[in-house]
Amino acid sequence: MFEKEEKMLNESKKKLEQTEIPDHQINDAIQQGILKAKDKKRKRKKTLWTLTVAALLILTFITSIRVSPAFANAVASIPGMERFVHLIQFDKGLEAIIENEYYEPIGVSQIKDNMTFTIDGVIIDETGAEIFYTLEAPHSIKNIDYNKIDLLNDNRSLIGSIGYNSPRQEHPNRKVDKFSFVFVKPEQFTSNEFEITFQIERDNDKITTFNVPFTLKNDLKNGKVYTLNQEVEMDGQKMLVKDIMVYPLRVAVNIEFEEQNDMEILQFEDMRIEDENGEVWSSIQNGTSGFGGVENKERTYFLQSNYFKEPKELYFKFDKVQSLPKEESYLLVDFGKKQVLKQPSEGKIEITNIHSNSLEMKYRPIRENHSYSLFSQGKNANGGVVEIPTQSTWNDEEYQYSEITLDAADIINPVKIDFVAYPNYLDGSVSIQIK
Amino acid sequence: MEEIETACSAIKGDEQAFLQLIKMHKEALYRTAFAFLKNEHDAVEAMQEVTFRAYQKIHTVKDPKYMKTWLIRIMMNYCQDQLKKRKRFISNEVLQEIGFHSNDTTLEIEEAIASLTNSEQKLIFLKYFQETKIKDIAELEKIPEGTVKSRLHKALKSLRNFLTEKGDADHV
Repeated sequence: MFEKEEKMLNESKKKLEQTEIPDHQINDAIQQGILKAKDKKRKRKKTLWTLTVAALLILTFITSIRVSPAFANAVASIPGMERFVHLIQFDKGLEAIIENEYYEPIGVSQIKDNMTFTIDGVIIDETGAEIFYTLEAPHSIKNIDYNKIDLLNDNRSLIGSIGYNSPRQEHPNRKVDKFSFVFVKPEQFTSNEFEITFQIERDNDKITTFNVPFTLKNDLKNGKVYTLNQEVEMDGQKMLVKDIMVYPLRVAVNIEFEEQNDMEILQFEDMRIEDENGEVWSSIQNGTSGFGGVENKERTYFLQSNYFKEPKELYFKFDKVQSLPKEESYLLVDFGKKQVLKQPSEGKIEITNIHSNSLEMKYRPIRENHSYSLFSQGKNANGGVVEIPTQSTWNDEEYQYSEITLDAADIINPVKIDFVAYPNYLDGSVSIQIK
Repeated sequence: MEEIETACSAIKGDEQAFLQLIKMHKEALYRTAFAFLKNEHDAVEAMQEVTFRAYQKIHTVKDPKYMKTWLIRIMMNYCQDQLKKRKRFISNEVLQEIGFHSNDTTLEIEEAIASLTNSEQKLIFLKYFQETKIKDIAELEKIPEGTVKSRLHKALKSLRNFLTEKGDADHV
């Protein structure tokens, strides 16, 4: 019926398909668009020196959920607890807390601007606090942002890193999640009186402030400290394992790295504690995994807690330690000339593309079901910090790909970007008996 | 399949998936921008703005199957807004410039499309340039397929009228 018009439309389409695609400019525009959007949403994450980014939850991980009968029983005995199971079951320490009734139901609510915030329950120890909450409203709250989250004890702010999920909400009007606080140093509380304060920012820029006090009834459990000060050597690199502290929420391991080492120690892939039966407690998978970056001489690593176990023997172990020679553990890039001036001779990460303020690279997957951020920040030619606001990674069957975007305003060439993760390993293994 | 999975992750807020998704559709998006805005500079700028808008709104996408069409629609809306803003500047000058590079047929049809209403333009673009199925358009717009067909019919008829009148005028 409209053959002629359709034919013309078709020709026009063909012509459009021949339009040249300015690929670089488009990629830059996309990056800028994402940056702009993220800039608007920034406040979402506020963490102090968080060591690695939370692990990716990959499908295979979810299919391997195991729920022990003891845990299932414990969950069933706490009203409303089943809603939080997904937030707990990837951490053996949290599961043990539920089983051992260290989770304390609170049930305090506050209503502000038609929104109801309820603290369902809390877990608090000297190292941090997990605040399980429900937020409900008569309208959708899918699109809110949290700001200025703080936890107070006797009106004193407990400084630390704060984390929360953006879980997929089953109901647009209800959020079921937890705030996770990790204190920088173990805290001594002066009373059982706590208060959580935060702001909710909605689509319409309207801000609502909540401040909800609550009182703990349970006694706080104190940490068990194993002072070791044991020097270990791996592939010629010296480390001092200073102490291991076991708390209900996490095990904290303090390690000091010898400055004379010729290798930079990056990530420990399998740091763990093991008991006499070979039961393993490994790194925190979904949350703050430690304090202190690669540039720090002393770092704290968090492991899942075995606080509620009474092992006869306890061992601290690691085998897979990522590292690079100190003098080449970075990239030196000239973004103007689009050139990599220096990179590790190991050559396990290939730079595939350089744009005006971003880099693309590819490498063999580093660790199954886990993705690492390869860098934390850069340094420009004047020694100033170059922020890396976006790091993204994806993969196909064979390779992992990463793209990082630097803050264009900070770039003065050449830019030095230190690796914080790299698929090159020390030889050997370490095992220390703690108990 | 992979496309749907990526779309799902992006809807849930996975930034990497979002980037992947935009990159997957960047050519289609760019060509859409170019079709409406007719120059590279504005089309690149449109890419940035549409990435920004999509990032903010992606969580509202209900069915990942229609992700591409959803993105194309954002692009078309953006472009039409831009055209409205600069309408008074579109003069013969721009048309001549395009005419210089293209043969008469495509120029004529472009003019004809430009004469349609905004929603007709979008419909024609989805159907004939993106080859979106009528059924999908219907589901996305939440209207019966019959309605899509009759609107399409009406739009084609307007195209024909425009072309015929123009043709007559040219022969005078």
